[in-house]
Amino acid sequence: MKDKDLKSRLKSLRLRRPSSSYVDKVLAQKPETVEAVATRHWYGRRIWIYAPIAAAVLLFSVIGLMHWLPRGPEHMEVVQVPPELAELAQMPVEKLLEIHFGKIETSFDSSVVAATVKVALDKLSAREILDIGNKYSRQPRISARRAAYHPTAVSQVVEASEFVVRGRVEQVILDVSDIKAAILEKELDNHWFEHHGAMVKAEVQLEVFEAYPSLPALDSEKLRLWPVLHTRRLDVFENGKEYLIALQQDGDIIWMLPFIWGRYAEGVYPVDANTGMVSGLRNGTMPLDDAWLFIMDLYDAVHKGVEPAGEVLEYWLAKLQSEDLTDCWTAVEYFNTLQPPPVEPQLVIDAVVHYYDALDKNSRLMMAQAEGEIPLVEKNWKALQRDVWRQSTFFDEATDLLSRVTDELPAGQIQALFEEDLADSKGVLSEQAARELRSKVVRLLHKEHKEVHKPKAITKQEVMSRKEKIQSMIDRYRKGEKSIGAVISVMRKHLRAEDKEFVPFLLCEIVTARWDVPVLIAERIPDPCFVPVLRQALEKEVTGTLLAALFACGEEEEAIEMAVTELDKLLDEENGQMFGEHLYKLLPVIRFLGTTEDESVLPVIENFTREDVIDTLRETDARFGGQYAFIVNKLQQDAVLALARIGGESAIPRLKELYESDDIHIRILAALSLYYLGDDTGYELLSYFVNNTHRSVPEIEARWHVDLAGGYAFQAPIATYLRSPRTDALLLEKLRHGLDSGDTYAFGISSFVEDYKGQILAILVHQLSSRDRTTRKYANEILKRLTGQDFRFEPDRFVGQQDEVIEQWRSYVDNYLNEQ
Amino acid sequence: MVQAEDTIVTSLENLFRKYSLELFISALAVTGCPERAEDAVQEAFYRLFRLEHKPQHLKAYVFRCVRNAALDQLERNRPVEIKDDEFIFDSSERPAETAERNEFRQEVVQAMKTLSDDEREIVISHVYADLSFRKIAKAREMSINTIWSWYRRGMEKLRRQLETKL
Repeated sequence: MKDKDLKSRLKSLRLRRPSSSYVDKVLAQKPETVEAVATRHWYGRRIWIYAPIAAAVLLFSVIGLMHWLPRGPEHMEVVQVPPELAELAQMPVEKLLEIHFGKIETSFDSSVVAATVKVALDKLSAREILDIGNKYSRQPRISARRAAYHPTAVSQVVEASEFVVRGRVEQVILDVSDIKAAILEKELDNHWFEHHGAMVKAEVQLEVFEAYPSLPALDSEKLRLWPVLHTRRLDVFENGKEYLIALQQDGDIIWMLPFIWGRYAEGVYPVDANTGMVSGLRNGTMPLDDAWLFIMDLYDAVHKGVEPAGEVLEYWLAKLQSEDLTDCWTAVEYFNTLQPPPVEPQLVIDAVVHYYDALDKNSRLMMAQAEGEIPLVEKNWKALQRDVWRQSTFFDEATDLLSRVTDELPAGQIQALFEEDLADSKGVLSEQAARELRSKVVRLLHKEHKEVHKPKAITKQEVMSRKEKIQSMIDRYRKGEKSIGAVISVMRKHLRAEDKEFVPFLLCEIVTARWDVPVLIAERIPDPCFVPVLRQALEKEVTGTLLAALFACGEEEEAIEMAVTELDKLLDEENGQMFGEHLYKLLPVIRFLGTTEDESVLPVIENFTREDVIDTLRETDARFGGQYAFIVNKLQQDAVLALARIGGESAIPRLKELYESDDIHIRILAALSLYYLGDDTGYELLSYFVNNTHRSVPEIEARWHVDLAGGYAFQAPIATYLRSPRTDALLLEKLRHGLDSGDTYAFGISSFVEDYKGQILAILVHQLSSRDRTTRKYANEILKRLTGQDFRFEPDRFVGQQDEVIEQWRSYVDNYLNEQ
Repeated sequence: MVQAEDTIVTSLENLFRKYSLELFISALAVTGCPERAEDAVQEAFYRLFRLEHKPQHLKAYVFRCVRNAALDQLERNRPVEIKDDEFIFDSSERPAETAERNEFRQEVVQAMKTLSDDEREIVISHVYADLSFRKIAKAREMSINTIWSWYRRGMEKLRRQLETKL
């Protein structure tokens, strides 16, 4: 029996009534005189403070109006606006923008147009400004449309949050100042989209009614959130509506979970004030009491490892057996957070069978509709599709739960249960879903012979010496069994400067055939014998890697001179393709100069960090359609890093100037460079990355939504170019706080891994138990990559459910490190 | 900011007219006696009508005052034993009512007796006085989690005892 059934039965009983004189007796106590009493609203103080200011403003406004109001024909002459400006000011905003963006030819001065556009933009709402941004961008990526999406599992949302609140939204303010500036500067085509993506900063004020486990200490009763909203989810909050919201906290900032398109919803569930139902959960709506209880129990299970006992367990078991899909689904989700789930397999089997039949029925209906047998109106068709999605997802999660509770279930019983469904003979599931189901069933069947995964045996290749490995690879290359790329890869890993016997192979076969051979020479085996061949190659084309190899082989001055000459060359301003190619070639040349430790080239490098130089390149690029904007930006970024490498302490003043840049990427790189040189000016900014909160910091999140995830701004420069004990420590500290896809980049750099392998492996094993799903995923991936082992860790399982696998990793890493 | 129209007495009168029954039931849940419940509400409003400032959360404040007055009643008088068939329910005979319904009411009263005072009071306040958990928590100056867990435990006990009757 559900809570709501019991509640409605209890409510059906008639209550005792008070006596007929009750109301009169109470009201008879009213005092005879009535005084006006001040109402103490929360904003009372603010209103009192601002009231005199408002009065003063009003007074001055009236005086102003008196002064400017037309008082006669003479005055009209004084304030008369030039007719062309009046014409501009009266234009509809659409036409004004067409003129501003050069779609319509005009005789107006561009600065006058821009000023008029600014006035017009100030009168528009945030959404209207977003629409303009979308309309005038080359690749529209933003939209204020509401997005349809499949809600993320509530348990995942709860896992990612630190507390959950129920509250009413009092105010939502969208911050579109960045977009407005981009419209005025007409930078929508490149810079703006590259930096702003499809996220908008906002401020949301909430009146909090309740919180679980507790509300952080606040200055007032109001909770201010600083969310970054996806532009397709702007309607996630509406003024005056009530919501359940999963939140995180970073210092004074409280933020929502990020919305990641197609993967993750932000954990905001609207509450209908009239019906008391919560929507946005996974299956339709739920009574508020049930939803709140569900969230609290999930929180206890996921964050505190609370095992249900007595009444709580009975409550969830009753839900699991419910005829209502929502009830059953919440129970499945709840039990899936527990290890081991305290459920009899038969109960899960019953639920699976029950809803497989329901899914079957709906799928047949869908098929009939698709084939035109049963015409459904649009609304019903969508509802049917939604039902099928929900049932399929439930089915998927219920079979997951089944696979976790069937340790004791005989294989025959499972086989019988899925006999028909193994081949999905009813055609209910999509091809992928059917495949997944089959694999789950196979897993169930083999669970009886569950074996502990053992480390892979050592191969013959692994016991070879370094030189034997290289020679073996060369032999196989000559036999046609391996590619030249494989040989280079092995050489970059194992070749040492003293291995001169491989020089003839490199000279004869491949010295200039591939871009990575000069890198191999520079890094592993610099030798003067390569100089003639390198010079020959440099006559054809000057590249950063060839220059680096020439420098490493002893011809330092020659390499630097060639590099500076290359940077001094005038860029072709007539041919777009030539311009782009030349820009692209400059990048490795600048990086190379940074490694030379020759302070005489400092002015050459510094030149490329200057805003006016970069702006000139941007203007030229804009004439060719703005297609090389990325390379122009990269040129400045690489110059900042090169400045740090080459300039030492003398570069600090310029780097501090760069740290004040408006460009967040330049600021990050300047902060990294300063830190590399021993200066902590930018540490506050870097700490966002170290503490793994970059997904939550509004400024960075709004501007760098995609790039941050790739490690391009933070991990890559540290791991490759600005390596020092300080930056190494910074990167290791970042790993201790969490991992993301960008960290895989750092682990591609062998020298960093070699220097800190022991520490890194220990951190990665520790991070398998992280509360953050992304961290677990990348910790597992990097562990697999570094060791070549796979213990079948599943990052999607909740913390505490895979202790056995984590222990296997731990003991493997301990043994590995002992052997090393 | 002074709002001339919205005096505290008017607000209290409006609130009482709207929630007179719920206030009575809340007091009854504590005292177990209808006469004492009425007295408690009357006493509370005597004090409320003489307040100088309007409280921030008026509804919660009023329910807290009524509860306090009901507790005072309990302290001043001997506790009343809950009768088998009434408590907060109307047991006056109605020809249309079936024996089964009467029996169910008695079962509910019996089940209510097994609840702790806190559990019983929260269940009654939420189910019969339609008070949200937030309001109850404010009225009792306790955390919402405590209120929630009392409610849940109370409902669980009722469910177990009434399972066969539903």
